[in-house]
Amino acid sequence: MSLEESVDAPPVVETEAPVAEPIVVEAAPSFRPGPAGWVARGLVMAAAAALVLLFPATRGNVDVHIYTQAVIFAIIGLSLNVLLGYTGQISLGHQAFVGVGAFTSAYMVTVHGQPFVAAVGMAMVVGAVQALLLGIVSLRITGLYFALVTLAYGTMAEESLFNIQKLTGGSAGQPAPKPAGFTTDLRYYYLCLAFLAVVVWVDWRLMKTKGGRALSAVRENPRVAATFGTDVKVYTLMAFVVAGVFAGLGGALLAHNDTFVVRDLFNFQLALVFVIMTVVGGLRNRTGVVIGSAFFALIGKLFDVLFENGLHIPGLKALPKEYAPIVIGPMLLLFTLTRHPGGVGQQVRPLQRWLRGGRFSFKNTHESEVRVSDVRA
Amino acid sequence: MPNLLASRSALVATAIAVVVAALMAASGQKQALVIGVITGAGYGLVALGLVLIYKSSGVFNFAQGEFGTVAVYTLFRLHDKIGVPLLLAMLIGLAASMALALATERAVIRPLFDAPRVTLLVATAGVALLAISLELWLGEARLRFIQPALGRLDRISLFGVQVSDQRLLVLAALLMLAVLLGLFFSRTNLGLAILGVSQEPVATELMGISVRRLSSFTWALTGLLAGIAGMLTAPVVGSFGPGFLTFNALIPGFTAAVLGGMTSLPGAFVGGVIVGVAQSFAVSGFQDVPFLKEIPGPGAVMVFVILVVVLAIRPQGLLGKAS
Amino acid sequence: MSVLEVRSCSIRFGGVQAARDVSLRAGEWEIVGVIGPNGAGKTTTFNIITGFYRPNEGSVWFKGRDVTGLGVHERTALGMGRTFQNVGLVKSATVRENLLTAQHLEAGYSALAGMVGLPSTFVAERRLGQRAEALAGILGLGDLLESRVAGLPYGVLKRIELAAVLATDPDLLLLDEPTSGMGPEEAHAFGATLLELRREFDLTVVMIEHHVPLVAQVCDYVYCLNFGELLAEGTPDQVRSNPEVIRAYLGQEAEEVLEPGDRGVPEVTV
Repeated sequence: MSLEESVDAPPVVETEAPVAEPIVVEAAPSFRPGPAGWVARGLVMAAAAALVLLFPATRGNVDVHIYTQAVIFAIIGLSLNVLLGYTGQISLGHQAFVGVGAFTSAYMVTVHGQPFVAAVGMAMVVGAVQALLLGIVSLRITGLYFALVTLAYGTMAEESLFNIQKLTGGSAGQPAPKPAGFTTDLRYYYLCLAFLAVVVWVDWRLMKTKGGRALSAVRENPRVAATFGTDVKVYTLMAFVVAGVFAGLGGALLAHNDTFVVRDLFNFQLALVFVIMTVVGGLRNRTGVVIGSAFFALIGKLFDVLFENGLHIPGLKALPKEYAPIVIGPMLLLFTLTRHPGGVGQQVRPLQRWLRGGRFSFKNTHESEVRVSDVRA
Repeated sequence: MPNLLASRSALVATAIAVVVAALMAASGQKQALVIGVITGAGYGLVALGLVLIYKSSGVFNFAQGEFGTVAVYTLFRLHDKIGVPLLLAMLIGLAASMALALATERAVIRPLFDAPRVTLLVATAGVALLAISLELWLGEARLRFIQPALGRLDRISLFGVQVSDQRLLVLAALLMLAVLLGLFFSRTNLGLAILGVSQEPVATELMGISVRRLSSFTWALTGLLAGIAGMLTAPVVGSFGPGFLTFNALIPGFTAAVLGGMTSLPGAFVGGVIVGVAQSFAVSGFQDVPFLKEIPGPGAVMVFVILVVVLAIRPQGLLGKAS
Repeated sequence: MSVLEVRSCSIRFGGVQAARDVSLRAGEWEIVGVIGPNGAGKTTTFNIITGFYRPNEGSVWFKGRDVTGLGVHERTALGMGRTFQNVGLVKSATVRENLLTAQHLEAGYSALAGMVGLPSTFVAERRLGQRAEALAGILGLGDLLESRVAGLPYGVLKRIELAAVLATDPDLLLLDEPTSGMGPEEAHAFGATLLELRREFDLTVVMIEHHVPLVAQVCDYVYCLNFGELLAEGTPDQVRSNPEVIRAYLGQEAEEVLEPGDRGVPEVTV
């Protein structure tokens, strides 16, 4: 067969003319909300903004302190979501990243007299380094065994890293004063909210650009990702670094919220609460993760409010507040995993679509199972 | 167990063990060696249960430690608080751990059977957390102190180290269980069926064996093992608190199982002892080395290092089969 | 100069010699066919070419350069594009997202810039989106851009995969059974599509195929593999009438096979 067709091959011309038969699909009728619809959406968004921005100003310091913790948990949840949700890597020792970030920031401020900004920056760097090291391990040890390694790392951090006297101040803990200019609880709350906004922005841009797409491909089908030109190793490590940076940030903010870091806080239960709040929030769903994480931080408060308003469950009142997340958490986790893999995010999706100008409907919210990378060939 | 002796890796492991033991004895770390072996026996018990579940369903059972802790809590509540006779309380304790195991199997493992194994790990971790939280809620966080049931603390002198009755009991129990389980899985129909079901669930069903019943049985058995592990080791440690078996023995137990080879029951035993000795050596031996003594929590570090090294270099462990 | 040269590649898995001393060439703008019975080592050869396997012996040369040591994504960057037998796409994503993901190397900005949200990345994203739409249009997928890949019919998936591979801006296209599941008319239409794509995108093609008429229609040269070794090579007509080849497929003596069309014997499609 001769090649006369291509002997004088013309330069590449991308024509619009289809080379193959077009496949016709029934398009859904496009929907545009009327003016009343837009007003309604605007009101809902305004209400949400008011709740987040204005409501805390009306409350006392103790409450605001917990709201700040909710915001910080949201940051940590988003950090874990990058690993667990986007990249499909498991991290059962996330409390170690957060804890090391917390202690680093406290250490920088208290022992080295560094300003808040430098301390937080250092915490992010340290978080990134830890995560990178674990990421390198993940290239060699995959799936289930890697989950085990992260777990062992978390326990080791608990018993070893957090006992380094100089860093953590031993059992007495390390002070971590709030930064100048943000010394009141309310101001610190707004500061953390600003950080959360930055994290959400970066997360949003990540998933809308080539980095996030690469992660999704790596999670689902690394061979295809490689064929599409993605360096699987580099992007896996990148995911760990991003997660580590956010976790370090969360840890630092946590330290200064409490103005004091104690090592007992960063135990195995916390690691699981982090995983639970991210999974229950809904993997890969930013809003769901934020809501889920905030929920877990606020559980104790939630119970208080319920009890004040007459909720009676025998024995439940005796449950110390600190234990509430770890009682409720596993139940929600098991419920989510077995019945409702999309988590809170799945519930929220119809609302999100409505807010963006679509129709409010419960169709097409189905999320497939909680996929976390399994042992790869 | 002729296979065990014949395999080269078992010989290597034994050789290493002998060398280490000799080193430790020579360097005066005899105390650490003996303690390590006994602690390792406890890890081995936990590891046996883990390997059992892994072999039969591919699941890493993170709740293994809590099955054991629950048995201990039940025993304590019944015997010390209510005054139930010791033996009866122990039996009920074992029943409690088996019940928890069965409940986990029914409510968590079965619905998620086709899910990725990591999801199952997270789910069993959730079960563990739930158990810990309930223990905290009902029992408060403080430690309870337990008297060993068997009295004499200095029954035997092993290499000049006092070994208590209780510790000997742990060692003996482990050996006996290891042998019993080995025989069970290689000789009895039930045992073979359990091993077979993970490989060939359809074929097993076709042979008239209910896969469901097998699964329940396997989990009940693992609950039993965990309960025994808990009840034996708590008096050795001297105290227990919420999640004590999980915090003290689960990660070393996993490491032991991985080291031995996740598919090898004798491997769990060998792995347990090796991890126990290594950990013990790290705790006492590092004190004398200038750089190493600065490291806090040397035991945990050592266990972590073993885990990473084994997984990086020889993931099938000492006695497991390469996948 | 040949675009692709496989030089005496061999690979062994455990006790199985999956490929032994396999050599093939593809010249610029050629369409080269690779045929052989199932299990002959065709996909294995593709895996060696694209970098999923490293051969025990031999080398792979692409555009005059030894790429044997390079990773998969590096070869994609150099201009190799490849499709898979069971369709290589990100199934949980939409068609558009797949086409965007495939333009990973064309993005023109770093992942970091993307995360931070520099204004140039917004512009780049719009450009990538337009290119995705253009490619989808060319392959008749315009209406499906927002559909999730999972759940679409197999034939459509193959088209999407083709669009995605083209999105990586390849010089060499390695197609693994692109017409599997297609009937004779569809396969013929695909052949026309392929020729058109070659012209438009300046491609060299190496194709694993089972449809003999398609091979005859488009291929300039054909290699036949069997049991991991090169059995025969030549023009489609030469290979097709090679008794060794016929025997490999049919297990019969050459004399017993008649020209297609004679005596009503059906075409030998393998």
